[in-house]
Amino acid sequence: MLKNFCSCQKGHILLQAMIIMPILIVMLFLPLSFSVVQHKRSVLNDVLDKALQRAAVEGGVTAGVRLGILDDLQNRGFDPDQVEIEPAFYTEKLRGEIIDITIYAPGNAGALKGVGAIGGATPPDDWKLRAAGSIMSEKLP
Amino acid sequence: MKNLLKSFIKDNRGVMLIVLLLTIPFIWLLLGITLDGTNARYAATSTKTALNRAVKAAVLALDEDRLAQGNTVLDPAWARSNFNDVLKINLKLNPDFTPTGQSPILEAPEILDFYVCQGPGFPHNYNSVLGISYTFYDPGVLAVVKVIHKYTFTGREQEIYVYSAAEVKN
Repeated sequence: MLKNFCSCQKGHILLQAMIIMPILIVMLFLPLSFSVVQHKRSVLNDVLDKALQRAAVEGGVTAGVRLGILDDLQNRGFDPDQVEIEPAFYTEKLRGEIIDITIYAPGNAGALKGVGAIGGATPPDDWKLRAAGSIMSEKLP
Repeated sequence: MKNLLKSFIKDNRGVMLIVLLLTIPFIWLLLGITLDGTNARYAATSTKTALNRAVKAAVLALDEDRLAQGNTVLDPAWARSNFNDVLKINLKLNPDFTPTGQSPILEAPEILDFYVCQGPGFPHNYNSVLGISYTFYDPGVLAVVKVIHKYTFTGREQEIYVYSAAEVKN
Protein backbone atom coordinates (compact mmCIF):
# COMPACT_ATOMS: atom_id res chain seq x y z
CA MET A 1 0.00 0.00 0.00
CA LEU A 2 2.85 2.33 0.97
CA LYS A 3 4.65 1.37 -2.21
CA ASN A 4 1.54 2.21 -4.21
CA PHE A 5 1.15 5.54 -2.41
CA CYS A 6 4.76 6.53 -3.14
CA SER A 7 4.74 5.55 -6.76
CA CYS A 8 1.28 7.00 -7.54
CA GLN A 9 1.56 10.44 -9.15
CA LYS A 10 -2.13 11.34 -9.06
CA GLY A 11 -2.75 14.61 -7.25
CA HIS A 12 0.91 15.47 -6.72
CA ILE A 13 0.49 18.83 -8.48
CA LEU A 14 -2.36 19.62 -6.11
CA LEU A 15 -0.18 18.65 -3.16
CA GLN A 16 2.71 20.80 -4.35
CA ALA A 17 0.35 23.67 -5.02
CA MET A 18 -0.99 23.40 -1.48
CA ILE A 19 2.54 23.68 -0.12
CA ILE A 20 3.61 26.51 -2.40
CA MET A 21 0.45 28.66 -2.46
CA PRO A 22 0.82 29.99 1.11
CA ILE A 23 4.37 31.11 0.28
CA LEU A 24 3.19 32.82 -2.91
CA ILE A 25 0.27 34.50 -1.13
CA VAL A 26 2.55 35.85 1.60
CA MET A 27 4.93 37.21 -1.01
CA LEU A 28 2.11 38.85 -2.96
CA PHE A 29 0.28 40.34 0.00
CA LEU A 30 3.32 41.54 1.95
CA PRO A 31 3.87 44.56 -0.35
CA LEU A 32 0.14 45.25 -0.21
CA SER A 33 0.22 45.27 3.62
CA PHE A 34 3.20 47.59 3.47
CA SER A 35 1.32 49.95 1.14
CA VAL A 36 -1.66 50.04 3.49
CA VAL A 37 0.63 51.01 6.40
CA GLN A 38 2.27 53.70 4.27
CA HIS A 39 -1.14 55.08 3.30
CA LYS A 40 -2.19 55.28 6.95
CA ARG A 41 1.09 56.99 7.83
CA SER A 42 0.51 59.48 5.03
CA VAL A 43 -3.06 60.22 6.25
CA LEU A 44 -1.72 60.73 9.77
CA ASN A 45 0.94 63.15 8.52
CA ASP A 46 -1.70 65.13 6.55
CA VAL A 47 -3.83 65.49 9.67
CA LEU A 48 -0.77 66.46 11.70
CA ASP A 49 0.22 69.14 9.17
CA LYS A 50 -3.23 70.70 9.28
CA ALA A 51 -3.22 70.59 13.09
CA LEU A 52 0.22 72.22 13.28
CA GLN A 53 -0.89 75.13 11.09
CA ARG A 54 -3.90 75.72 13.30
CA ALA A 55 -1.80 75.35 16.47
CA ALA A 56 0.67 77.95 15.15
CA VAL A 57 -2.14 80.51 14.90
CA GLU A 58 -3.79 79.55 18.20
CA GLY A 59 -0.47 79.34 20.07
CA GLY A 60 -0.56 75.68 21.08
CA VAL A 61 -2.65 72.55 21.19
CA THR A 62 -5.98 74.07 22.19
CA ALA A 63 -9.22 72.11 22.64
CA GLY A 64 -10.16 73.18 19.10
CA VAL A 65 -6.93 71.80 17.65
CA ARG A 66 -7.41 68.53 19.55
CA LEU A 67 -11.03 68.19 18.38
CA GLY A 68 -9.96 68.96 14.81
CA ILE A 69 -7.39 66.15 14.88
CA LEU A 70 -9.90 63.65 16.25
CA ASP A 71 -12.60 64.68 13.73
CA ASP A 72 -10.20 64.48 10.80
CA LEU A 73 -8.94 61.06 11.85
CA GLN A 74 -12.48 59.74 12.38
CA ASN A 75 -13.48 60.94 8.90
CA ARG A 76 -10.52 59.06 7.49
CA GLY A 77 -11.21 55.71 9.09
CA PHE A 78 -9.44 55.85 12.45
CA ASP A 79 -11.10 55.15 15.77
CA PRO A 80 -10.82 58.45 17.73
CA ASP A 81 -11.08 56.59 21.07
CA GLN A 82 -7.75 54.94 20.35
CA VAL A 83 -5.97 58.11 19.28
CA GLU A 84 -3.51 59.77 21.65
CA ILE A 85 -2.33 63.35 21.22
CA GLU A 86 0.71 64.88 22.88
CA PRO A 87 0.93 67.31 24.59
CA ALA A 88 -2.15 66.35 26.57
CA PHE A 89 -2.65 69.87 27.95
CA TYR A 90 -2.65 73.33 26.41
CA THR A 91 0.42 75.43 27.12
CA GLU A 92 0.44 78.83 25.49
CA LYS A 93 3.37 79.35 23.14
CA LEU A 94 3.97 82.86 21.86
CA ARG A 95 5.45 84.04 18.57
CA GLY A 96 8.86 82.48 17.96
CA GLU A 97 8.39 79.54 20.32
CA ILE A 98 8.28 75.99 18.99
CA ILE A 99 5.06 73.95 19.20
CA ASP A 100 5.46 70.16 19.06
CA ILE A 101 2.61 67.77 18.32
CA THR A 102 2.75 63.97 18.34
CA ILE A 103 -0.19 61.80 17.29
CA TYR A 104 -0.44 58.08 18.03
CA ALA A 105 -3.14 56.25 16.08
CA PRO A 106 -3.95 52.54 15.79
CA GLY A 107 -1.98 50.96 12.98
CA ASN A 108 -3.67 47.60 12.99
CA ALA A 109 -7.15 48.38 11.73
CA GLY A 110 -9.51 47.71 8.85
CA ALA A 111 -7.86 46.66 5.62
CA LEU A 112 -4.47 46.10 7.20
CA LYS A 113 -5.85 43.51 9.57
CA GLY A 114 -7.50 41.55 6.73
CA VAL A 115 -4.52 41.77 4.40
CA GLY A 116 -2.12 41.02 7.22
CA ALA A 117 -4.12 37.95 8.18
CA ILE A 118 -4.00 36.61 4.60
CA GLY A 119 -0.30 37.38 4.35
CA GLY A 120 0.40 35.96 7.79
CA ALA A 121 1.91 39.23 8.98
CA THR A 122 -0.77 40.64 11.29
CA PRO A 123 0.85 43.13 13.66
CA PRO A 124 -0.20 43.16 17.35
CA ASP A 125 -3.53 44.78 18.25
CA ASP A 126 -1.94 47.58 20.29
CA TRP A 127 0.51 48.54 17.54
CA LYS A 128 0.32 52.29 16.92
CA LEU A 129 1.47 54.57 14.13
CA ARG A 130 3.23 57.75 15.20
CA ALA A 131 3.39 61.13 13.49
CA ALA A 132 5.34 64.00 15.02
CA GLY A 133 6.07 67.53 13.86
CA SER A 134 7.01 70.99 15.05
CA ILE A 135 6.09 74.50 14.00
CA MET A 136 6.89 78.01 15.16
CA SER A 137 4.08 79.80 16.96
CA GLU A 138 2.62 82.90 15.29
CA LYS A 139 0.53 84.01 18.27
CA LEU A 140 1.17 87.57 19.41
CA PRO A 141 1.25 88.35 23.14
CA MET B 1 19.53 9.11 -24.29
CA LYS B 2 16.26 9.49 -26.21
CA ASN B 3 14.44 7.44 -23.58
CA LEU B 4 15.91 9.56 -20.79
CA LEU B 5 14.74 12.80 -22.43
CA LYS B 6 11.32 11.30 -23.06
CA SER B 7 10.92 10.24 -19.45
CA PHE B 8 12.15 13.66 -18.26
CA ILE B 9 9.49 15.44 -20.32
CA LYS B 10 6.75 13.02 -19.29
CA ASP B 11 7.63 13.16 -15.59
CA ASN B 12 5.52 15.86 -13.91
CA ARG B 13 7.12 15.68 -10.49
CA GLY B 14 8.60 18.94 -9.24
CA VAL B 15 6.74 21.16 -11.73
CA MET B 16 5.45 23.48 -9.03
CA LEU B 17 8.93 23.76 -7.53
CA ILE B 18 10.28 24.94 -10.89
CA VAL B 19 7.38 27.38 -11.26
CA LEU B 20 8.10 28.73 -7.77
CA LEU B 21 11.81 29.08 -8.46
CA LEU B 22 11.01 31.07 -11.62
CA THR B 23 8.42 33.23 -9.88
CA ILE B 24 10.28 34.14 -6.67
CA PRO B 25 12.91 36.44 -8.29
CA PHE B 26 10.17 38.41 -10.07
CA ILE B 27 8.12 38.81 -6.93
CA TRP B 28 11.19 39.91 -4.94
CA LEU B 29 12.06 42.35 -7.71
CA LEU B 30 8.56 43.85 -7.57
CA LEU B 31 8.70 43.96 -3.78
CA GLY B 32 12.08 45.71 -3.82
CA ILE B 33 11.00 48.28 -6.38
CA THR B 34 7.80 48.99 -4.42
CA LEU B 35 9.68 49.46 -1.14
CA ASP B 36 12.34 51.65 -2.73
CA GLY B 37 9.78 53.82 -4.50
CA THR B 38 7.75 54.25 -1.33
CA ASN B 39 10.84 55.21 0.68
CA ALA B 40 11.90 57.78 -1.95
CA ARG B 41 8.42 59.30 -1.96
CA TYR B 42 8.37 59.39 1.84
CA ALA B 43 11.76 61.17 1.90
CA ALA B 44 10.57 63.75 -0.65
CA THR B 45 7.27 64.38 1.14
CA SER B 46 8.94 64.69 4.55
CA THR B 47 11.49 67.14 3.17
CA LYS B 48 8.78 69.24 1.53
CA THR B 49 6.67 69.34 4.72
CA ALA B 50 9.70 70.28 6.83
CA LEU B 51 10.69 72.95 4.33
CA ASN B 52 7.18 74.45 4.34
CA ARG B 53 7.31 74.77 8.13
CA ALA B 54 10.86 76.16 8.02
CA VAL B 55 10.11 78.98 5.53
CA LYS B 56 6.99 79.82 7.51
CA ALA B 57 9.19 80.21 10.61
CA ALA B 58 11.65 82.30 8.60
CA VAL B 59 9.04 84.93 7.67
CA LEU B 60 8.24 85.42 11.35
CA ALA B 61 11.60 87.18 11.69
CA LEU B 62 10.16 90.66 11.24
CA ASP B 63 12.10 93.73 12.26
CA GLU B 64 9.82 94.98 15.07
CA ASP B 65 11.11 98.57 15.03
CA ARG B 66 10.53 98.94 11.29
CA LEU B 67 7.17 97.23 11.65
CA ALA B 68 6.15 99.87 14.22
CA GLN B 69 6.88 102.47 11.53
CA GLY B 70 4.61 100.62 9.11
CA ASN B 71 7.34 98.87 7.11
CA THR B 72 7.38 95.10 6.73
CA VAL B 73 11.08 94.25 6.72
CA LEU B 74 12.58 90.83 7.38
CA ASP B 75 15.80 90.36 9.33
CA PRO B 76 17.78 87.94 7.05
CA ALA B 77 20.07 86.55 9.79
CA TRP B 78 17.17 85.94 12.17
CA ALA B 79 15.09 84.45 9.34
CA ARG B 80 17.90 82.02 8.53
CA SER B 81 18.26 81.06 12.17
CA ASN B 82 14.51 80.33 12.46
CA PHE B 83 14.64 78.39 9.20
CA ASN B 84 17.56 76.23 10.36
CA ASP B 85 15.98 75.53 13.74
CA VAL B 86 12.63 74.37 12.37
CA LEU B 87 14.18 72.39 9.50
CA LYS B 88 16.46 70.55 11.93
CA ILE B 89 13.61 69.67 14.29
CA ASN B 90 11.27 68.41 11.57
CA LEU B 91 13.86 66.46 9.59
CA LYS B 92 15.41 65.17 12.83
CA LEU B 93 18.88 66.49 12.05
CA ASN B 94 21.90 66.95 14.30
CA PRO B 95 23.23 70.50 14.92
CA ASP B 96 25.63 70.02 11.98
CA PHE B 97 22.70 69.05 9.71
CA THR B 98 23.67 65.37 9.54
CA PRO B 99 20.60 63.12 9.90
CA THR B 100 19.91 61.27 13.13
CA GLY B 101 18.73 57.66 13.22
CA GLN B 102 15.05 58.71 13.10
CA SER B 103 15.46 61.05 10.13
CA PRO B 104 13.53 60.24 6.94
CA ILE B 105 16.60 61.25 4.91
CA LEU B 106 19.93 59.44 4.80
CA GLU B 107 22.33 62.30 4.04
CA ALA B 108 22.60 65.91 5.15
CA PRO B 109 20.32 68.17 3.08
CA GLU B 110 22.04 70.78 0.95
CA ILE B 111 20.44 74.23 1.15
CA LEU B 112 21.00 75.47 -2.40
CA ASP B 113 19.33 78.84 -1.96
CA PHE B 114 17.86 80.85 0.86
CA TYR B 115 16.42 83.97 -0.70
CA VAL B 116 14.95 86.76 1.41
CA CYS B 117 12.83 89.04 -0.74
CA GLN B 118 12.49 92.54 0.71
CA GLY B 119 11.46 94.40 -2.42
CA PRO B 120 11.31 97.29 -3.24
CA GLY B 121 8.77 96.97 -5.93
CA PHE B 122 6.27 94.17 -5.98
CA PRO B 123 5.51 91.86 -7.72
CA HIS B 124 9.09 90.65 -7.67
CA ASN B 125 10.20 87.70 -9.79
CA TYR B 126 12.60 85.08 -8.49
CA ASN B 127 14.36 82.92 -11.06
CA SER B 128 17.02 80.35 -10.24
CA VAL B 129 19.49 78.40 -12.33
CA LEU B 130 17.55 75.25 -11.38
CA GLY B 131 14.61 76.51 -13.39
CA ILE B 132 12.55 77.50 -10.38
CA SER B 133 10.56 80.68 -10.83
CA TYR B 134 8.36 82.34 -8.25
CA THR B 135 6.61 85.69 -8.01
CA PHE B 136 6.64 87.50 -4.68
CA TYR B 137 3.73 89.85 -4.10
CA ASP B 138 4.88 90.73 -0.57
CA PRO B 139 8.13 90.40 1.44
CA GLY B 140 8.97 86.75 1.92
CA VAL B 141 11.45 83.89 1.89
CA LEU B 142 12.14 81.15 -0.65
CA ALA B 143 14.39 78.19 0.03
CA VAL B 144 15.64 75.42 -2.25
CA VAL B 145 16.92 72.20 -0.75
CA LYS B 146 18.59 69.20 -2.34
CA VAL B 147 18.33 65.78 -0.74
CA ILE B 148 20.11 62.69 -1.99
CA HIS B 149 18.09 59.51 -1.67
CA LYS B 150 19.84 56.16 -1.90
CA TYR B 151 17.75 53.27 -3.16
CA THR B 152 18.47 50.27 -0.96
CA PHE B 153 17.42 47.62 -3.48
CA THR B 154 19.04 48.91 -6.65
CA GLY B 155 21.77 50.96 -4.91
CA ARG B 156 20.95 53.89 -7.20
CA GLU B 157 21.20 57.49 -5.95
CA GLN B 158 18.57 60.07 -6.76
CA GLU B 159 18.75 63.80 -6.23
CA ILE B 160 15.50 65.25 -4.92
CA TYR B 161 15.03 69.01 -5.27
CA VAL B 162 12.39 70.68 -3.13
CA TYR B 163 11.50 74.34 -2.83
CA SER B 164 9.09 76.31 -0.71
CA ALA B 165 8.17 79.97 -0.27
CA ALA B 166 6.27 82.02 2.30
CA GLU B 167 5.26 85.67 2.30
CA VAL B 168 4.10 88.23 4.86
CA LYS B 169 0.92 89.97 3.77
CA ASN B 170 1.24 93.72 4.07
